[in-house]
Amino acid sequence: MYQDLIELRNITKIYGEGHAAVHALDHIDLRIRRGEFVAMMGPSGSGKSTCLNILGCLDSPTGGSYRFDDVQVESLSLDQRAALRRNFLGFIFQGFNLLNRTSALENVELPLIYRRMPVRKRRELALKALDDVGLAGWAEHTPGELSGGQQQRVAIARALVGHPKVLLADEPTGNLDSARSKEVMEMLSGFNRRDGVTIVMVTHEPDMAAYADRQIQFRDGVIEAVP
Amino acid sequence: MILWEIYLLAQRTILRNVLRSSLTMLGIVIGVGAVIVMVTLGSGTTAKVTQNISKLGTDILYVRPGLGSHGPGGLRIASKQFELADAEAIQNAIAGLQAVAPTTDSNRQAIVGSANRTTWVNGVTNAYFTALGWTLADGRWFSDAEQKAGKSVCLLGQTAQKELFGSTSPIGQALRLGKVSFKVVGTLQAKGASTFGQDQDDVIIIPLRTMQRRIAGKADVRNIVIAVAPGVSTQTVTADIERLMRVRRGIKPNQYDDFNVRDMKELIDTFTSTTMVMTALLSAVAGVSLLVGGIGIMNTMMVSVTERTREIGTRLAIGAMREEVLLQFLVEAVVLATFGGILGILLGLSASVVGAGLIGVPFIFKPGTVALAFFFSGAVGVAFGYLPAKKAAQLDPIEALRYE
Amino acid sequence: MSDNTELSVNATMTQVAAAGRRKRLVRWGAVLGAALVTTIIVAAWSLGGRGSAPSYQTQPVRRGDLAITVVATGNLQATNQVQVGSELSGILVALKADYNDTVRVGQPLAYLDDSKYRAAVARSRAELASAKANHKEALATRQAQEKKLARQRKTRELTENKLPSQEDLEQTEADLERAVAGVEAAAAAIEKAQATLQSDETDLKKTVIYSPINGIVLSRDVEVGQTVAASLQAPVLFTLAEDLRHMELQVDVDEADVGQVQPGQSSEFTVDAYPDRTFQAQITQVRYGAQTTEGVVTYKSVLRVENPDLLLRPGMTATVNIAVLKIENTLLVPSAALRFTPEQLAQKPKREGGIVNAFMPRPPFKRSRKMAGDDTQEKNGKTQLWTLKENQPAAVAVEVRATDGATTAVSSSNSDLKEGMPVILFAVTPKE
Repeated sequence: MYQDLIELRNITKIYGEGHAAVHALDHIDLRIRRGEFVAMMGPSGSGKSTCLNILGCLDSPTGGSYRFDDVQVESLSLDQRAALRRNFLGFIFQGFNLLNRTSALENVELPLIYRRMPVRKRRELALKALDDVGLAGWAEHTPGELSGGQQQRVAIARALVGHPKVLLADEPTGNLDSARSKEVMEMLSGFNRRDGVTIVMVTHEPDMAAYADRQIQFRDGVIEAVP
Repeated sequence: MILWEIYLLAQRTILRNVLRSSLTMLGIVIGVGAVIVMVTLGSGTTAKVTQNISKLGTDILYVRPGLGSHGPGGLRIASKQFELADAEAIQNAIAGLQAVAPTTDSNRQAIVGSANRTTWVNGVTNAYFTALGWTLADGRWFSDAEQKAGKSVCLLGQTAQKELFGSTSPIGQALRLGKVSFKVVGTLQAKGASTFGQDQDDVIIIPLRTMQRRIAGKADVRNIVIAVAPGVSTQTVTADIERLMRVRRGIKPNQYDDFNVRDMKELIDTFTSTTMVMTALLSAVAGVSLLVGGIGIMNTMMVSVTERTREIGTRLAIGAMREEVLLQFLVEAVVLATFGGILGILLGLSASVVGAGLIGVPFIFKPGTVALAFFFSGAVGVAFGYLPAKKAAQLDPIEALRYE
Repeated sequence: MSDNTELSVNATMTQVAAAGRRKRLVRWGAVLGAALVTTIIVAAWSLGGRGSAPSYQTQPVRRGDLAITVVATGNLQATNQVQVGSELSGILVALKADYNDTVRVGQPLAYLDDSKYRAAVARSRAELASAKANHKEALATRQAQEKKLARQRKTRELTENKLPSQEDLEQTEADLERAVAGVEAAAAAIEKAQATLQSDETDLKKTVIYSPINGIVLSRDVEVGQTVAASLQAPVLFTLAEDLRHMELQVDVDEADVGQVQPGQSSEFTVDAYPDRTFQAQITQVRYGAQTTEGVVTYKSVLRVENPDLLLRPGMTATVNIAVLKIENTLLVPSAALRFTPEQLAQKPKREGGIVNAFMPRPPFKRSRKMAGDDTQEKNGKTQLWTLKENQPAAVAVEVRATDGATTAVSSSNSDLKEGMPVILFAVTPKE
C-alpha cells in the first residue's frame, strides 16, 4: 500500500501533431495523498481539465506514468479503466450531468447499476446518499424539478454513493450562485473531513479553492507551484 | 441482471417519446403485418386448394388412355381404350396398391316420372368407393352378384337425388337411363364441388358391367382409378404403371405414351408450390417494408444517440463499459422493433381474419410464422440498431460530456 | 467506505481482466453453440424426411408351374348354319315350322300359293297335247307326199319320162322334203312343250319349301300371308342351325398375341350367362386374314366347342383364355419384384426448371417426360431381383423365362435364388 493514492510522473499530453502540436500537459509530476482535498487552479487552457481527465481515466496521457493506488493505469485495458472509474472514482461536473426525466434516486443509483448491485441494496445505499446530501425528501423528483444546488447535490450523492477512493470534481460550482456554491463546497469539504474522501477539484474561483487542503496552479501545461 | 435493467431503461426511453417511437415502429408494424397477412392468406389458399383436391383423394392415380400431350401445346394422340384386363393387370402386377377401380362414364339423360336431368353416369366396380372414399347416406352398396351380372341397379349422388326425386326417398324407386330401367339401391354422402368446379354429387353410379353392356354397349374402360397404399410412393407406382401399360399397349421405346397417369398428389404439390412461391414473393415485397422500417429505426436511433450524447458521456464517466452502452442502445432498438413486431402481428392477424372471410379461404393461425415474424423484427432491430449503438459506444467521453 | 478500502484496486483490475477473458470465452462458446444448434436443426430438418429407414414389403419365392394364357373375346356360333330362302315369289299360305322346332331333311317348312304354278302346268300340258297333235298331222302330210312322189315316179317310168314333167316331179320332191321338215319341227315342238311342262311342274314343287338339313330353327323371318318377292336375291324365310351340340367359337386374337396361338391349343372360356362355369374349347384354325377395327388389328381364330347340355347358345359372348405356354416346376416371383429398385439407386424424376416454372400454369396432366428407353427390365434377358438380407436389400441376378403379368418365372444361373427367399416388392416409407 502506497502512501500516495495518486502519483503522476512526467505526464505529457499533446494534442495534434508536428507544428500544430499543442502541449496541454508538459511533463507534469503530481502526488496526491489519501484523504487529501486538492484544488487545481489556473486559467482556461492551462491544462488543469486535461489533468483531471487523465486522473479520471477518461483520457490517456501521451507520455509518462500514472499510478493509481497499486496499479499502473497506462497498462490497463479500456474495460479495466471503466471498472476503475466504476469502483474507485466519483465524478461531479459543472453542468451536473444528471439524466433528464429520471428521478434523483435513479440518478444516484446509476453507478451502482453498473456495479451489478442488487436492487434492494442499491436503493438503500442511494437513499442514504441522498440523505447525506440533505435531499432525503426529494428522491422521486426529476432534475427538472430541482434547483441547481439541489441538482449538484444529487450529482454529489451519485458520485459518492459507491464510496469511491477519489472524487473528481470539474468546476462543481461553475453554474451555481455564490450561496449555492458555498453550500456545495461546505458539503464537499465535510465529506472530505468526515469520511476521508480524497477530492480533486478543478476550479478557477479562489474562494472555492480555499476549501482545499492544497492548491495547485497550472499555467501553460505545467504546474507552477506546489505549496 | 443488468440486461433486465437495460431493458427497463430502453422501455422507459421508448415510452418517454410515444409519438416518435410509434412513427419509428410504423414501418416494422406495416412490414410484419403485411408478411403475416400474406403468409396467413397464402397458407389459407393453399389449404383450401389442397382440401379441394383432397376431396378427389390424395394418394389417387387416374390412368386414362389418350390425352397424352407432348411438349408445350403439343399434339394430342387419340388412342385405344382400356379394357377390364388392363385394370386386372395393374391389380395383379403392381405392388403397393389399395384399390384398382376401372370406370366408364358418360353423360346421359335420366328420367324419373316427369322429372328428367342430364347427368353424369359412372359405371364402376366396388373398389371405386374404397378408392375415392365415398360413403353411403342411405341404402346399400352393389352386391358382388349385381356387379358380376351387370344388374340394373344404381346409387345416386346428392344432387342427382335432389333433382330427380326431390325430397322423397329414392331407395327402391326406379329411374330410367335411355331404354334401361334402374332400381335405386342407395344414396351417397355429399362430396361437394371438385377443384375444377364440377359438382361431384351430380352423378348416378351403376355397376361397370351394366354400363358396358347396357348403356355404352362396349367393353371399354375409360378410366382406371388407383388408390395407392399408405406409405407407398405414388411416383414409384406411377412409373410402374407407365411401364406396365407401355408393355401392354405395345408402345415401342421411341414412342410416346398413348395414355397418361395423373397423380393427385403431384397436382396438389404443383398448386401448393405455386401458391407458396406467390406467398414467398409477396412476403418478400412485404419484407422490403420491414427493411424500410429497420432503416427508420436506425434513423431514429441515430438521432437519439446524438441527442443523448451527454448522457452517454456521463454513463461512460460513471463507469459504464463501452459494451454496456452499446447494449443499451441495441436493446432499445430491438425493443422498438419487437414492439413494432408484436403490433404488426396483432394487426396482421386481425387483417387476416377479415381478409380470409372476404376471399373465402380458411383462416389458418401459424404459430411458426408468427414466431418467425417476431424474431425477424427482433433481428431487424439488431441489424439496424447496431450501427447507432456502435456509434454511441465509441463516443469520446470527454467530448460527450462537453456536448451541448 | 469500509468495503472499498479493503478492496485492492489491483485485485479489482485482475478480476475485471479475468472477467473479460471469461466473457470472451463465453461469447465464443455461445457463437459456436448457436452454430452447432443451427447446424443440427438444419440437418435434422433436411434429413427428417428420410430419417426413418423404409421398411420393405416382401413375398417369398415359390416353386411351381406357370401357365401363360392369351385372352380373347368372341361369339359362339353353330358349326353349320343355313338360311332357307325361296326362289319363287308369291304369297305364303302356310308355315309348317316355327322357332326352336327341330326339323329333318325334306320336311316341308312353308307353302307358297301354288295356283299360278298349277295353271302354268295345265297350260303346258295342253300345249304338249297340241304339239303332239301337230306332229301327227305332219306325219300324215309326209306320208301323203311320199305316196304322191312314188306315184309320180312310177307314172314317169311307165311313160318313159314323159309324164309327169320333170318340173312337176321336182315340185313333188320338194313338197316331200318340206313335209319331212314339218315332222321334225313338230317333234321339236313336243320336246319344247314337254320341257315347259317339266319346268312348270318343278316350279309347282318349289312352292313347298323343305328343310335342307337336320337341325333346329333359329329364326323364322316371315309370316303367313306375307308376299315373298324373289327378284335378285332369295329372300330368307328361315335360319336353320345344324346340331347345336357341336358349336364353334370365333374369337379375335390381338396381333400381339397371335404368334403364340396355334391350332390344337386348348382353352377355357366363360360366358356371361353362366359366370361361374368354365367351358372347354380347342383351337382349330387361326386365320391368316387380318381384321382391322379402329386401328386395332386382330386375327380371327376358330375354336371347336362341345355343347352336350345345350347350355351354350349361338351369339353368346365368350371370354377365352388360351393356354399358350406352360412352364413346369420353375421358380416363381411376383412380377412387381422385378420392378423394384432401392431408392438410393433409383433416380428420382426431377421437376425441370426452377422458380419460373413453378409459376407457369401447368395442365393437371403430367408431361410424358420419358420415352420408354428407360425400361430397364428386359423381357427375356438378365435382370435383377432384390432380396432382403438382414433387413437390407441385396441384388440377385436372374433370367426371366416367362411372365403372365402377375407372376414371372425366373431362373438364376448359379442358383443364387432359392425357394422361400423373400423378394422385395416395394418400400414403405413411414409417414410423418
